[in-house]
Amino acid sequence: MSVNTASGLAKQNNIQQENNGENIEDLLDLDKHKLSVIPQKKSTPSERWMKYLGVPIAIAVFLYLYYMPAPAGLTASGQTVIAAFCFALILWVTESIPTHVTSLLLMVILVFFNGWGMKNVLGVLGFDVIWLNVLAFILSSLLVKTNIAKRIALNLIVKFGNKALPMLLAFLVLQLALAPLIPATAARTVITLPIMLIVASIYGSTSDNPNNFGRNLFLQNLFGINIFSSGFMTGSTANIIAVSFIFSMANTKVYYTDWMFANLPVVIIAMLIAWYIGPKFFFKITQKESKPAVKGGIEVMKKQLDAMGKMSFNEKKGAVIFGIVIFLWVTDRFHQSMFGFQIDPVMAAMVGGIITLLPKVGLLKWNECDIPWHLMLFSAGAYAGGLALNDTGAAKWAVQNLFTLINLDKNINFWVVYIVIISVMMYSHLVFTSKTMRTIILIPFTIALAQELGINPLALALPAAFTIDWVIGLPISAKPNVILFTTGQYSVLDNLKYGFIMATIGIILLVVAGFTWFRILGITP
Amino acid sequence: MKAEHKLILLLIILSSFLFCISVFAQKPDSYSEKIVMNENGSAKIAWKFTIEEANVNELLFPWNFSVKNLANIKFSLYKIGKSKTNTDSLIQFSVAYNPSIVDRDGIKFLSLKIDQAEQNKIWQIEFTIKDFIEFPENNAEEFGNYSVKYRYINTSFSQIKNFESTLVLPAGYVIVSVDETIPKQTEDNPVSPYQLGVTDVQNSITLKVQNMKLGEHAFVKMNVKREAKSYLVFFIFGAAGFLYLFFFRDLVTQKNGKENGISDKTKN
Repeated sequence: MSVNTASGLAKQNNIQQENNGENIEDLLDLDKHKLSVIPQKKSTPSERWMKYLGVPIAIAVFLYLYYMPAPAGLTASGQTVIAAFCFALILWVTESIPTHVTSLLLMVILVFFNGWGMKNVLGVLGFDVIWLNVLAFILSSLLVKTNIAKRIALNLIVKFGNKALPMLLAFLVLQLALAPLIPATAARTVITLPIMLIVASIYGSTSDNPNNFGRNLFLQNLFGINIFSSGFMTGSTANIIAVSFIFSMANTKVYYTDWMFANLPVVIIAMLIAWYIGPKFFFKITQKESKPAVKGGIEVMKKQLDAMGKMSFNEKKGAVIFGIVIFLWVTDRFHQSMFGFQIDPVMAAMVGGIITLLPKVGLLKWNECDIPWHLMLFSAGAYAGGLALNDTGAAKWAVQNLFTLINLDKNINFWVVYIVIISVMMYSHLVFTSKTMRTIILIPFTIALAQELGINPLALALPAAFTIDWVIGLPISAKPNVILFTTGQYSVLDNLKYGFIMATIGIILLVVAGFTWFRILGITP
Repeated sequence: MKAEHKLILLLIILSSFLFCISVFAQKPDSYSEKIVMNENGSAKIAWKFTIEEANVNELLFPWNFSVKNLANIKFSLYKIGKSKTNTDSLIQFSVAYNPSIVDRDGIKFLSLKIDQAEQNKIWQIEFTIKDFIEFPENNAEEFGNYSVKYRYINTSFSQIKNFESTLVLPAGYVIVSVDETIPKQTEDNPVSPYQLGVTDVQNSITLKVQNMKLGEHAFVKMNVKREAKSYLVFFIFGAAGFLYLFFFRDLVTQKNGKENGISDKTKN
């Protein structure tokens, strides 16, 4: 079939959908929208211009950064990595070439130009985030095939009505509830991913034909999974490291409740803003997209849910398998006493994957697992670029130079320092892929700076620590981002613009909180 | 081991320790060294230090260079004065202090004969050694990199309060990567132990260690190379950019939205 004919057919399908909606069986049949199949997408004129100019701009930027004299304090490999990463970032955003091909290109450039060693680059495909990605899609396939995901999704839609905004809010409430229970953000992503896929599909958003509901749903969940982690001190390991720095370097103990009372309200307000502005301003949900794209509306879905009857044996079996994985995720802090060893979230998912694929015991055959390998390659390449930025010291150099440029001296007003620190901490996630590394580098620096300027270190370091989990700007900024990007429901540019604006809103909220709420709590002067 | 054997062993260790204390009864306040490497493999080394206390007439400094012919080394010794910035008044004392390399129980030290009255001064010793590193063309690894390792071991009983070592690369060389350092940057020790910079127009790396005790060391392993880059890459990338603009012009010239399948598309 030619591209012409294909796009014509897609257009026809859209028109048909607009008029009639689709049969619910078609929408819920994810075999028709397999993630492992690269979808065909139609570009707007501006997107085509971006694609056309993306390659020459990326090349020009690469050559400029690569050939310029090495700046003081930066290694030659760091310079190469910055040049290569900017090159790839432009290509990912403009989508001049497929994102996974850009990732492969980035890997080749890193190795050929002495940016990062071949062993390191190729080794990324064996990283826990990639394994978790593969296992997430095996478990997701399990939930889809056994109809558990369909049952949960239909229940959600029937309960929360058939409107987009309440549905998006329901997901945020779900993420908020899961955040203190399961600290591992990637695990939370895996749990909710199949439900997201089904709900998106019901609203007519699939990987081959994503719409604004899908963009909002997946990006808001990305925000929710990451940002809600910053509401709790145990939300991520990096939060705990930050607290231990504040204790060891500033001699101030931060308790679980101190952290939660201070930051949880900020986080909830931030997510409510994200929930509101996404569908209203960034990815406006049209009248058509705001309702399930199902012929017959909510009544059909109720009927469909009724028709599913009681849980089948396979559903129960699937729920038990998935339940084992969730149990291992939720009880991670008790593993040592329960088993005598610690089970990492990836290993817990692997246990679930093994049971799922075991003959007679499990429920899936390998061919039934829908794994988007092309996006695994994207993830591996992108992650390699991000890790190379960390490993060569390029990310640290960029942040340190930013601080040097700003030139903070002793007579400076506290609030200027506060805004600078919060902003640098927040935006630095765009160059660091590791929250831990970002924390190790920036929190001690913040404490030392506060001590040098005669400011209470807690007043700067704790609000700075509240930004650690705001890793929302790029698909490679954190594990949940990598996993969610592989659904093909949004582009790198979608993620960047919504994420960047939300990060900016986060800064504004933390500054306002610094003036008000944190003052009441005695954190800021 | 029997209890009396343990006691004897303890006494031996204690007596050796006391002997050493008497020999190395000096307390360096700060110790900094600058190693300026040349492309021929030699290095000009400058040590600068202050001595807080010295109860003997001899100062001993750990000698970590594997130099075969010590006779080739010429030392220049300076006493700078109390002010660390007062470098204008360098006075050479190469003869009076009689610097030499001595061997104590298999460990090499640089020995200086001093008067007790001259403690609390800033001292500077300069010397050049050959074969600090091999830079010949056939020694280069992939990408024209040279692996450079440097280790300073504090073999004296004295604790060095502030240790600083700056390695300056030959002119036109850059640091490709810093592969390993001691001390390491960890969660418990978040301050980076090294800093990259430029010293006298040449790229350099500075290692810093505080309170360096007996047996502790500072170490760096890095790759360096000549800064020159091939312009072939420039032409290949430039040509690729122009070819792309030519062959993919249909992206913007056709108005009906047809594309040639360069994005995430599969042609059926």
